[in-house]
Amino acid sequence: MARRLPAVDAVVVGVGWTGAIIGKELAAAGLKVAALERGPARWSAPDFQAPEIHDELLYGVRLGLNQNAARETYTFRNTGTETALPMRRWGAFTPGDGLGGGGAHWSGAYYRYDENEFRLRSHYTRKYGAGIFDPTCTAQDWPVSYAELEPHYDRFEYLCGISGRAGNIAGKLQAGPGNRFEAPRARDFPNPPMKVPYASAIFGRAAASLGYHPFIQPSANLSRPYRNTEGLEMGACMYCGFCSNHGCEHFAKSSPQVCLLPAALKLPGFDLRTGAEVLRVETTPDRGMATGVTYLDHASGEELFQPADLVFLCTFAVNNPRLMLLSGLGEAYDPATGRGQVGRSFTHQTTASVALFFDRDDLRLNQFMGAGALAVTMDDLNCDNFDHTGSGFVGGGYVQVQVVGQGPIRGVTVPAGTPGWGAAWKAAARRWYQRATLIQITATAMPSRATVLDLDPTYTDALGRPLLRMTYDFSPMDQRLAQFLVDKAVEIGRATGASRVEPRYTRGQYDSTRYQTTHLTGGAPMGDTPASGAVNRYGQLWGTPNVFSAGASLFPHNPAHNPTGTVGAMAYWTARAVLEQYVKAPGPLVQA
Amino acid sequence: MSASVGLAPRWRRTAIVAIVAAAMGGALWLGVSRATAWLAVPSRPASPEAGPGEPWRLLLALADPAAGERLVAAGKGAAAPACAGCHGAREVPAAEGVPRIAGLGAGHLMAQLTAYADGTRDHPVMSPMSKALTPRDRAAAARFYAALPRPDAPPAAGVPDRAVFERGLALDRHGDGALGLRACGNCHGVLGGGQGGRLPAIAGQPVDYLAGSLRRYREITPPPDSGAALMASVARRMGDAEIDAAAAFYASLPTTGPANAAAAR
Repeated sequence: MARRLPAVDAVVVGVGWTGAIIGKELAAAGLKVAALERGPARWSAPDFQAPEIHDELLYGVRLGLNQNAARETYTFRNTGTETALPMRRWGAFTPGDGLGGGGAHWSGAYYRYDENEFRLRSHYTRKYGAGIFDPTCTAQDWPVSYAELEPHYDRFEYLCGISGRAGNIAGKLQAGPGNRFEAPRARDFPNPPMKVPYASAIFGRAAASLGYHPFIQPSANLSRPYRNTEGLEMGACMYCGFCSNHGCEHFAKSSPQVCLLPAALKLPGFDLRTGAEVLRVETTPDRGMATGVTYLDHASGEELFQPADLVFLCTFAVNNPRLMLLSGLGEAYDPATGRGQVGRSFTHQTTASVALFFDRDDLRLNQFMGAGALAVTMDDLNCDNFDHTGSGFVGGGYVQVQVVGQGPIRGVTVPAGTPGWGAAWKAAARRWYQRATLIQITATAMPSRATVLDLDPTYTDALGRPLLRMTYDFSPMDQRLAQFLVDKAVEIGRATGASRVEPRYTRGQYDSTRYQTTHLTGGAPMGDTPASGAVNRYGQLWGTPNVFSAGASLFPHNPAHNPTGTVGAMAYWTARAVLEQYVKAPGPLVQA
Repeated sequence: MSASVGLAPRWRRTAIVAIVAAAMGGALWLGVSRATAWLAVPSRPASPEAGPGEPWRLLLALADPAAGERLVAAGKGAAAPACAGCHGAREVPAAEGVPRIAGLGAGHLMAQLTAYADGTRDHPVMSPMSKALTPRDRAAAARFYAALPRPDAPPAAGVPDRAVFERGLALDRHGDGALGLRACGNCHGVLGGGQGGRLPAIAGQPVDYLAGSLRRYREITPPPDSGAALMASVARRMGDAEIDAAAAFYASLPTTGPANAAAAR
């Protein structure tokens, strides 16, 4: 029997971006908040300081800041007729763990979603006819609009200190290195865009020569020192090249522990507890209300019950639906009948690349200088920025050269057919280290009826709880899209003057060992009725109105752009709805 | 423009374009349109001394160390007495408490002289002197001092008491999370040995110079994109105790030695 703790107003499960935002907003409004993080506390100083943090083997290869797959992982299968097996090391994605979550060691690519992503089904149906969607595609309109989220995007950007240049301010296109296709924003980014690395400039010039509109990718790697909207000081990015999978020693990568938590900890109502692993949400017998959460305190080994009037699920995207399933919240999705919402609309992402080799003795691309989100990119082939007639897919992808830092272990690109080791590999690595780069493609992913998250019948985590089982494959629409984008990227590659242009298609079945991104979405999608989503437009569970879910599990499909901007904006949107509506009149914020 | 006189008109035009582009910081990409000017690739790679956008990079590259030696020895009028009067003309300064600049990077020294001259940094002695020098003079002096070896001299100060030393070591290695302070060693190298041409060695510098510089950095608001802004943003987060501990710690370290291999190049 778990020991009962004194009650709080709200409990936050997971302290990454969404938990830090919601927890801080509620505590600032005077609520008593228990913020529970299963992983360890870790701070920019001392934990992320150089030179130790520049350990590519520990952090880049062995994923030292990520979730420990030996303790808790996912099982995977491509179709419902297969037996899922546990992912014993990370491949297709690398989930976070610990204070700050993935926000502590993400890359920092920052985007808002396009206006049409929020009305995906109706927009494409109206423009191209319903037949553009495969019959198995379950994509739907989102119950929230871009215009509603705009102020929250703005708030998150000024919290993070995003580096970038506006392409569209209030409908007026801006000259310069901004994205002319972006949704209109009320004002420019708080900091100027990052510097342009050589390889990215080569790409951008080639893209421009073909009539595309390259831009500097907005970035949560700061281009200059910045005091953020919480009064916290951030440093400037040094382009050190140890960014993705690493913490930032310079306080220059926007993270909960840099941008928010020091301010939250000053609030009397904000109680941060690390090593606090939530086992389940406790409810009244009819599951109509949550009563709190039971968690394992790693330090004492004790199970504790934390009573709370409000529960916020703020774990890594797919862990929210797992916690719902483990707690009996909502109805589990059944792909056979299409009934149930928890576990539905799970998607990952379709990525591909084109390798460019420049056979020039004098070339030094110097890609060891980099940053997680340092890129020249283009949206001409993304969203509905081009004609989809006859294409057989919706959405698109962005095409870019991103120079993340060319570490000696993972940063070597050699031509296809090069032996994997030995003298020939070494000769190729020497020849191409300074003369090869990758055009990367990051594309939309559509959910289909057969993709599902549920509890695995066989495998459990270290605490004996069923693992989350993923049943997923690329939808045919996504595969057609990826083919289209790679072919276009090959044309750009040729325009760079590269001596060898090598497409690296993503074909066949989704492979759980091949990295795509860590942008898992869906599993507890938002919908405008209980029949179309696990939660309403505020992330509130339909059947249990004092439980809210935050993060990318809410997204009904995966737009191509990186999700963190929308994850942050949605967290502010949820927090405002709770404070302005729910706290004053507890109950459903949307009538079913 | 005189360099292009006598060339055939079409080559003269090319020469003028090249000279103008070089004067604009070396960014030259013929055929670049206005819309994508931000994609211009510098005609030369950045050097360890200066970024492609720094206006004095050509001056520094062409600076004459012999002219620097004359300037260091003789000064330039009443407003700019001889540098050697304080900093020495060899490895060790002539006066107590003066920073040991011999063997520091030319780009670093030039950037500091420029910052004193344009008001980005402020120092009662260095600011008026730097303003009295031309950019060419500053480049020559920077070149001269950078060419000297790092001084092989005893530490500028004795070892402080244990608590202060350990606090300084912690700031060097780990920073201070509660203050939002990153480790000094992230930029200045482990144990203050310096890194590359622009991040100076601070080991073995006089304690009053180190502490005084940090206190002045706390007071200024440099342009947000400048190097000085980086240091100012760090110094603002340091209290007096942190400044004094860091200064005492680095002053007690040797100027050269195994820890300072980077600076001794």
